[in-house]
Amino acid sequence: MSVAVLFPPASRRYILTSVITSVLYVVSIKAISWGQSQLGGPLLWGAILVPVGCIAVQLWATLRLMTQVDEFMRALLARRFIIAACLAFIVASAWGFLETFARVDHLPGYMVYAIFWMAFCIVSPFIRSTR
Amino acid sequence: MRNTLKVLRAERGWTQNDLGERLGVSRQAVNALETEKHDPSLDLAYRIAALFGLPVEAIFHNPHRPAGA
Repeated sequence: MSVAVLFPPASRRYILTSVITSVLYVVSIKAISWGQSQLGGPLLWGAILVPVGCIAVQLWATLRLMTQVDEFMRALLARRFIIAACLAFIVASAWGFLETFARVDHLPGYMVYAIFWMAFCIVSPFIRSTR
Repeated sequence: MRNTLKVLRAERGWTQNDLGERLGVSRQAVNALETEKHDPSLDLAYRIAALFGLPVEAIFHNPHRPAGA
């Protein structure tokens, strides 16, 4: 089976965008945490736009992929996306309550994005039908 | 939705990939239709019917049609 069949152009674009944004996301966070004492005020705020931008571009790439695949894959991706988002909301909210009332360790707000993709990976093998 | 897609495809000696290419959908979509994991949109149902030269209801079982009608 050819690469074109296994990975149509829309999927290849999505994978490429995902790899670039993921690498840039990790590198930018490392760079910000390393240089946060040197960066101050507006420069730090500006630097934070890099990982935030990576998240925005990654989400846009995912939504664009949904518009470029066939109706079955679109419905499947949408179901997985919605259920993963619901799980991320639930986990983040539960952790927030635990922080407030049970004094568990603080979970940075940006971790909700990682939780969302973990949930997406966990639910995907179980959501194979659009019905 | 129950359908005769697998039989119609086999009669023509097409693979799922062949049928997907003719319909403009993925092999996974054809597999999902055949295994009743996906109900097609009206547009896709019409495309399938046109490809096989049959009415939609000759391919897809209409669960809403009254018995004997």
